[in-house]
Amino acid sequence: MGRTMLMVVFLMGIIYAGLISGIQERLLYIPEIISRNIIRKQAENVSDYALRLAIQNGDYLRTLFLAQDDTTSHVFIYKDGNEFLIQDSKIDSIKFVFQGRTGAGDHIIKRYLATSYVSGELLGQSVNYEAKLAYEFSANKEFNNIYHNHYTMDEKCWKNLLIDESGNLNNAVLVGKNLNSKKNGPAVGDACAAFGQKGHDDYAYMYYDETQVRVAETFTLSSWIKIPSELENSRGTIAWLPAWNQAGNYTGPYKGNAYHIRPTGAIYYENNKIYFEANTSDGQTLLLSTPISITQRLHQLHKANWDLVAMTYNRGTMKAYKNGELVGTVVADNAPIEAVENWGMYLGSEPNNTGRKNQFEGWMDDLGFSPYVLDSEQLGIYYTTIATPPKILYFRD
Amino acid sequence: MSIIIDLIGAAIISSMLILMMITFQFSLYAAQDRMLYTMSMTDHMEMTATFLNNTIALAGVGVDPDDTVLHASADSLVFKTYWDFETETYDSTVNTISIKLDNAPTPYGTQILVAQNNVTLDYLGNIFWVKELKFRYYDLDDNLVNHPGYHKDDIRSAELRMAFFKAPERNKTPVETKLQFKCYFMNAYMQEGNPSLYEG
Repeated sequence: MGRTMLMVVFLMGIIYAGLISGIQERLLYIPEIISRNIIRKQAENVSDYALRLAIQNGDYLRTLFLAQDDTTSHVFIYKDGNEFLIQDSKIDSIKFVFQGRTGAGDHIIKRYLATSYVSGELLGQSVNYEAKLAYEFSANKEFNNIYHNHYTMDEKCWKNLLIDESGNLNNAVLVGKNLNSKKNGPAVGDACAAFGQKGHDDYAYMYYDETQVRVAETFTLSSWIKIPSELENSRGTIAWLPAWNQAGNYTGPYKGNAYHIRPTGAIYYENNKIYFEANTSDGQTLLLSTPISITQRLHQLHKANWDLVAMTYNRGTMKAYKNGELVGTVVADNAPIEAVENWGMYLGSEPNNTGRKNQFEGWMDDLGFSPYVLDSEQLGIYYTTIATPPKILYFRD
Repeated sequence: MSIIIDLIGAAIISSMLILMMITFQFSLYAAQDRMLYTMSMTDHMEMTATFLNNTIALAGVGVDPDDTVLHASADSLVFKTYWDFETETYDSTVNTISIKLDNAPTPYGTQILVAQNNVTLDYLGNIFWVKELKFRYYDLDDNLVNHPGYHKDDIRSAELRMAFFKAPERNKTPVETKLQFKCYFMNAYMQEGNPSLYEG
């Protein structure tokens, strides 16, 4: 009896051990799968962070390798585990390899390929993750004139108020319907302001008239614009510095309510041309114009497809610029002479006796206004800085 | 006599005990086997989704986003890219990448064929255990593109619906798992910000 039971127990033990070992072997494989999935996901996420870091460092490289003939490559190695260790994965290095350059003179474009290397280890499972990012940037000088203030027109608050970026609180007020900022439209995202809609009567414009912001001696006025083909020959005011109806320095023929026809400075569109106008304190009108293209193409987010129009007034000398190039100069008869004193500013329309007129239909961005005169070189640099920003060509994450 | 009765009784009791334990252990084994199958299938599905997502993200590298898709149907997707999946580098000529389900099942189930210029890519060509692969397409605003064959220029993302199928070793009842995920043509999206490269 005892031997029989012993045999039974022995047989049971063998079968039981066989089953248990089989189960154990398979169960132990499960944490392996789980840990491999976890570490792979972690490494992927850290790799995304590494690519963002690559872009940040790329901007640093932009200054480092600004010299047009510099063709060196660079490797950032991250030794500080605490800073670049995220859970169980870490950024090992980011390598920037010079890929080539195009253009000449002031229009050199340099191209780099950034590769990020990430590694991770969890419960004996290790992964290596590699991602690539190719980008190019202009090796031109960068515009950094702090006196050229902008209404950037890329904020949500633009729908009610246009914030003065200079911090002087010369914020403009919106009148009329909200300006369009349609996704996937000609005005992509919040990147610019779309004035007017063909077939609609409720035009929009913006103005600022709380204080004078006197710029009678010198000023610069600029704006990025796109003129839609629907506008055709209609006149549309882009930016208007109204003359003050109580201008103390004015000796010209216009009086009283006729002040509206003599802007201190103005940029407007008419008949496929952009006009630049300034009025001197003795009643002379300085006028320049340049042809402008009209279009209705989509995919216009990039400023290379826009036009930058700008004018400067310097004690009787008015200069007009398109896309950073000087297109005309006109000098008042008895220069140097002040422009008629101004009051406030209008965007997308101009004031007249009874209200507003010449409402603009089109797209406007980054209106620049300065009491200083930017010279040709500065406006050229400003144009290329905006029109040729760093571009990401492709990425593989 | 009493010894024989004792032995018979002991044999009956121990047999029942053994049967109970073996049944319990086999149930445990089967349950664990199924769990292991589920885990490995989940792993396989994750890897498949990652592979396909990474592949489709490279659609439109160096190509006008409107010209990225060459063919779009419910069963297959063909797109253009300057990315070379063989060498993992930017190529000097444009490549055509196709994604579709193989015509006939293999002993390892039906596989997804990812081909570059009609040559199946090795490291992407072994996605097995797939029963079904269907595509739906969306535009820049995430709106469904009806008749994608006629509106290829609008497509900016693809939603993949897949069914995985595999019979577990110890259980003849097949287990089918489904996966639905969206792959954005990230590089094509990005080209929208570089229109100056592609006037017109």
